[in-house]
Formats: sequence, C-alpha cells, structure tokens
Amino acid sequence: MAIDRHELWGNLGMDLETHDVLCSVLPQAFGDVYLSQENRPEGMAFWDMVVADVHGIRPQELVDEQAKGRKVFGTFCTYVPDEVVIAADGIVTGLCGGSQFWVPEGEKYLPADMCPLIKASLGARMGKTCPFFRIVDQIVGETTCDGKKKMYEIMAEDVPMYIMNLPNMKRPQDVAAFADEIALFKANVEEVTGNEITVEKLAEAIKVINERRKALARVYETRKNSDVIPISGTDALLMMQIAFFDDPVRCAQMANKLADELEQRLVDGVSVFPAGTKRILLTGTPLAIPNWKLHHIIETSGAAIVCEENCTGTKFFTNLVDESQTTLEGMYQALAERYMKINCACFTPNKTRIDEVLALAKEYKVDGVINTNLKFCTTFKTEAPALEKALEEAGIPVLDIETDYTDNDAEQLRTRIGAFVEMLSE
Amino acid sequence: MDLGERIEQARQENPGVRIDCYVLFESHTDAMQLYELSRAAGLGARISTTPRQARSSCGVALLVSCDEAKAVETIALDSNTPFENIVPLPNQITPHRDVYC
Repeated sequence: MAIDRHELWGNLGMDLETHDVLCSVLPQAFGDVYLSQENRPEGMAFWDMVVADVHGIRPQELVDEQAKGRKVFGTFCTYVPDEVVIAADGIVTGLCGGSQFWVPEGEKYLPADMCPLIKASLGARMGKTCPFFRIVDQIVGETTCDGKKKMYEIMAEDVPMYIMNLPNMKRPQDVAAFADEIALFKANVEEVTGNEITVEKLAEAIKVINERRKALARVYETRKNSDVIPISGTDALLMMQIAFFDDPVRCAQMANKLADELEQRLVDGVSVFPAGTKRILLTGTPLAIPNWKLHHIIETSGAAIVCEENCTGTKFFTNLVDESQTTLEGMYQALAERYMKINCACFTPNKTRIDEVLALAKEYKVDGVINTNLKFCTTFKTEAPALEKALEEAGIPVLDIETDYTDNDAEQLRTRIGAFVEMLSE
Repeated sequence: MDLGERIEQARQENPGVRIDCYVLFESHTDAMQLYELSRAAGLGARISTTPRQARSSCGVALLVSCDEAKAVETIALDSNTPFENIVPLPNQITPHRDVYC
C-alpha cells in the first residue's frame, strides 16, 4: 500500500473528505499539461515528483522539522525576506492559492469581486484543505495590495499573523523605512523561534538565498537563446512555483542541475519547440501553483513562453543582496535595497516595471508580450494601458488578457491567443 | 493474470486507444530510483501523478510505454526496487481538454 497521508492530514486538522476531491483532480490536470509535452529536460523529474505528491512529501518534511523544534513561517509575497527566517533556523513556505477549488470557500468571507489568488488563499486556510496552511506556526503578511491587507485581517482571527509594513513608494526614506521594518521582523522571528539572529547567521542566510537566486537565474539565462528553447515556459513555471515551497539549498541544487542540462542542450541544439516558434514574454500577476492554465494554452497555441516577468518569475530572483555588510543594520539596509527593487504594481509610481519589461523583451528576444492580470487585481489592471503603450511605442506587439482560475474562458483564450500568435507570424 | 495479459486485455477493452502503463509505488524514493534506473537503461519512463483510475490515493507513479513495461518490471525486480503494481490504462492525457485544478 502507498504511504497513506490521511494520518498526516488528519493530525493537521484538515477536512479529509473535501481534500480528497482536490487530490482527485490533480492527476488529470498534471497529465494534460505536463505529460503531454515532448522532450522535456530530465531534470524536471524532480519537480514532477514534488507535484505528484505535493500535499505529502514536503508537508511531511515540515512536520518532521517541527517535531525537532523548528518553526515554519508561511508567506504570500516576494517582498518578505526569507533570509531573516533562515537566519533563525526557521523554515519558509509559500502559501499563495492557485486553484479554483479554494475560491468558493474564500468567497464565504470575502467579496466575490476580489482577485482569485486572495480568495483561494483564504479559502485554503479556512476550508482546511491545504496542509501548508495548517502546518505554519505563523503567517507573515505584508501591506502590498488592499485586498490582501483586508484578507489578512480575517485570516488573523484563525492563525497567528505578523504583518510587515511595506512602503508603497521607493524614495530613499521608504527604503530606510523598510530596513527598519526588517529589523522589527527580525525581533518577531527571534521571538517565535527562540533563536537569536546574529551577524554571522544573517550573513550566511543572505548567501543561501542569493545562491538560490543565482541558480534560478541560470535556468532563465538559457531561455534567452534565440535559436534553441531548451525548456518550455510551462516547465520553468513549475520550477518557480515549487521554489516558494522547497528548502532553499535543495532548490538551488536542483535548479543548478537543471541549468547544467539546459546549457548542454544549447550546445547540442536540443529545443523543445520547432524552429521559428514565436517567443513570448508573459508579464503581470503571479501564477501560484497549480495555476498552469495560461502557460498551457499559450504553449499549445503555437508559441513558447521564454520569460515570466512576475512574482513566480524574474521578480523572485532578480538582484542579489549585497553580501559585504558586517553589521545587522547594514544587512537590513542591504536587504531593503534588494527587495525594494521588485517592481510590483502596488507601488507608485511604477515606471520601473515598464522599463524592466522593455529590457527583458530585448534580452529574451521576444516576438510579443502577453500582459495578464487576475480578475479584480486593480493595481495591475490600472497600469496595463501605460505598459501596453510603452511596448507598442517600442514596436513590440502586446496582448492584454484578464482571466481567473476557472476553466470557463479557456476556449475564448485559445481563440485570442491563437490569433495573436498568427499575427506575430505575419 | 500476468502483466502481458493485463495489457492485452486493456487493449481489447479499449480498441483504437493507446494503452499506457503506470507503475505504482509505496514511496516516492522508490519511484525516483526506478525512474533513474529505467532512464539509464534507455527506456522512456516519466515521473507522473498516480491516476485515480489506477489507485484511489495520490502519490508518485512512473508512466511507461506498455511496450517497455516488461523491461521496467525486470529492472525493478533485478534491483530490488519495491513497487506495488503496474496498471495498464487507456490514454489519460488530453492536452486540449482545458480542465485545470
């Protein structure tokens, strides 16, 4: 008999009956999206394994570590500095909900006209159908968008919650304010874990997370090749999605192993798409696991995604934290400077995101950009026209897509994306 | 019935449909071990989720061509890699189904 995870899930207080329904839909979706691909890199076997038992393998590891006294911190956002938690021998796990399965439960507490990521995240916690949401000792929220801020208030009634105050501007005083916020977070993490964060420990944690960034960036670097596309966007997305959940050292090891293989593919001319396949940069809102819809539709419509400019893409690993600091205060500032370079639509102004998308479009030699936002994500939706105007002025075709986690618009998306790809070929 | 007979039965019950074989395991480490041994032997094994039609609980499986299933079974037996069963199923993969989770 296979390892029965029901004891693990039951001990976490999960709703086993409802959770079984979720478990039953994953194999079909995974097969359709991932096993239908040809010539995938061997290195993807690791991520396939993780997702095949996504609510079993890693949750069991986390529970085992908790039994040794370690604490697990759940996060939703690329602005929360993992380094601080790692420095206290804590564990970070991502929590963002990427499944429609959790949305109706979230809508019991939230307005329907709120983005599906927020609704799914709350639904996963309140419905007791995600082990990661049950395992965490503390959730770390942040003041990014209004929807998440208000959702955190509701979630805080059910689970210990710590909120980081993220400034929404990027002036020097805002960066300094975030450095102060990181210092406060350090005190919180020390209190939760019972472990002191020293200069040495934080310096080591900064190195660990920088190594993860470098490894993920190596994989992305191979996608810049104009002649060979060594990995599908759908596979790269899976690597990124799981990076939020995995141990950072193992994540770096596996990403480096994959990068080795992809670099060899470039030498050998091994591409997963036929020559001439149109190259797409996808930008916009995050794609939390298991949200594979848009990638799959695009890559089964004659195009290849070669870069994701979003939180489950370049935002997660671009820019390293300065490793030369020798004091805690210097490290807080270095961390703040790196994290405040992330160009989220919750900031104003956010022209740096437009500049970054234009630069990435050039670096990754794309034929077109697809700008996507989850329904009811006001900030990304509002800045879409400015982004699209800049792309058009640069001569880069752009398609704007608003979607959610449901399957209802799949045919419509196929029609629009197919027409866009056809237009790129003219 | 032995594996060959079960594959043949699945083919007869699903005429015109490709039959794939799923190797089921007790643990993901066994699955990864057999995956690596099978790949090293030049077989086209892939890591997969466990289809519900094969088992009611989730977990890591190995997806292999039924033409290579016997060879994979032999590797597992020779290497003492534990596995639960090899289940032939009609094609489970439909890339344009557009049903996500």
